[in-house]
Amino acid sequence: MRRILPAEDRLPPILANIYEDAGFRAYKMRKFEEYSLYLENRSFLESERVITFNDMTGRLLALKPDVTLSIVKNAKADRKGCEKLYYRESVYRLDRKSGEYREINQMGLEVIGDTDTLQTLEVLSLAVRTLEATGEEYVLDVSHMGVISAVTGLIDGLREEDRAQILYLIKTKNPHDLAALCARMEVGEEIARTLAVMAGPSFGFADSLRKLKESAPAAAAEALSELESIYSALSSLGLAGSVELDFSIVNDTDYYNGIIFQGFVKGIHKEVLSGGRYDGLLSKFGKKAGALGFAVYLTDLAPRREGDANDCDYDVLLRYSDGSDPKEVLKKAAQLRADGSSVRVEKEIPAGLRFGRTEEV
Amino acid sequence: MLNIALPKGRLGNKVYKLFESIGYGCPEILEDSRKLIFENRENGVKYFLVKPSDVAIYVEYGAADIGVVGKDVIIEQDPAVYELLDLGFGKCRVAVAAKKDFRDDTDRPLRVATKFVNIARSYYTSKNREIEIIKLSGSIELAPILGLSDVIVDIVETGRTLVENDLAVFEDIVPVSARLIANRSSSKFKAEEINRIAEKIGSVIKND
Repeated sequence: MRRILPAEDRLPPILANIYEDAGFRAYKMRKFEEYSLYLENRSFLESERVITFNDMTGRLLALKPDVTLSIVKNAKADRKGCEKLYYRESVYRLDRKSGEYREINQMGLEVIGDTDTLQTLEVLSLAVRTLEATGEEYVLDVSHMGVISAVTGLIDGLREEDRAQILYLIKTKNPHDLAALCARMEVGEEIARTLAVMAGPSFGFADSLRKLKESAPAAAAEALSELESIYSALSSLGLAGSVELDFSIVNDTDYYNGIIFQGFVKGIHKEVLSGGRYDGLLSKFGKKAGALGFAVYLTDLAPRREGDANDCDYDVLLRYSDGSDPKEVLKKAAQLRADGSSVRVEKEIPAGLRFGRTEEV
Repeated sequence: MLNIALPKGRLGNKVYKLFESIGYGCPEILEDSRKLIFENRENGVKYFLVKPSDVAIYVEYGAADIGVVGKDVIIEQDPAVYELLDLGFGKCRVAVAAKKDFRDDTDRPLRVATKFVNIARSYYTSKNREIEIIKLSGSIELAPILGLSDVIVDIVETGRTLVENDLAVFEDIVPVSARLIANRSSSKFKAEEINRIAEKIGSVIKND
């Protein structure tokens, strides 16, 4: 019997090869960082709650809730070239729903430095190849924070809480409440229409983009043309088949300023890959460079499929008794294993396990 | 096959009728039985009947692709789902109610009985009022009558229950109606079916 490895064990070597072949260098780090790193960049994290502890000198440390911050902190960043790194690390995050900490096994990559369009395309194509490697049907949703910033930037006297509400309604694809909010704020028709399109259903990348371009104000033109050129480049590379335009991916605008994206795999209820351009984070570290990258959540890629009802845990239960000759028993087991069977050797039938057949020595 | 979570009870029946009217019928569901799952292979739909406050959970975790749920539940639970349509029925509001002669004494924290803990907390935080929350699961109206709480935060439809118990609405927090929600991942992989349903329902409620 050959076990099918879970994605968490199967994918890392495959992905590492893909990333190495693309010129990325493996990056290894400690499991913890100084807590102040996370305190200073709270809004970059999904949750502010991190697991902390003191070292011998009383310094407050934290188990990593995020990898990108550690990489950015240590990266040599300038506009002269690029640092290209990939990693496989565990992060510890508070699950918003259950209130429990989860260990999430992540693999991801970052490009820091002169991140031009070509580098953006390379990261996106690696995201596509990462999703392809799962062997499942997938979708890569792409958005651009510049469009949202440009459109909301045109609303006069927009209060912070209303801005947060607009982002929330786009994120939850809720055009009806968004229309009501626009009416209350007396937003111009052009902006209201654009926001409605952004919160509406997706109809394929090209159609969605065309629809948006018809209504979007001029301020969003630059971001929209970046989306357009990225899509056409991905198409000509034959990678755009499962790439969609979807504005419901919304990230913190202080950190994310350009292309952002999320990957979904059929049968898994939430995103398994998430990334984008986060130049804003680098400028917070006083580094004059661009940055983009993504992470794939290996833990969440665990298949939810029910096992075959006839499936057994081991092919053969080989039973022996007190009088059996250990050499004979092990020889028999080795023989069965050589024939390709998995064999468990026990005196009694173990509870809770299923076997294809039972043999006795 | 599209999995649809419906809230048990009155709202559920109304929602089912709506789905039936756009061609996703499954008549078995109207029979008085204890079954929880109803399937119509011809139409490619499977309905689940679940507790109204659980609909969003089934949809968020993808056990159901779409579902219908009150906006009160969405605000309270903040599930990661798409909210596609306001169905315009099941209209009511979440409001603050208390005994008719209630006067707010700001010298001490306000005692609030509710099943909407998050809504109550964020509402009073926005007003900078210190509160003490008492979480109840039903018959919330009893709390102020028995002196268990100063006020309640609860669903008010016609207000009849309140009047009959000598209570009155003091502030409205948020209007509520039934919403069509969808799982984020299903929205990508069953986009055509889900968009079609949302479009059809959208045009039915527009013509109502």
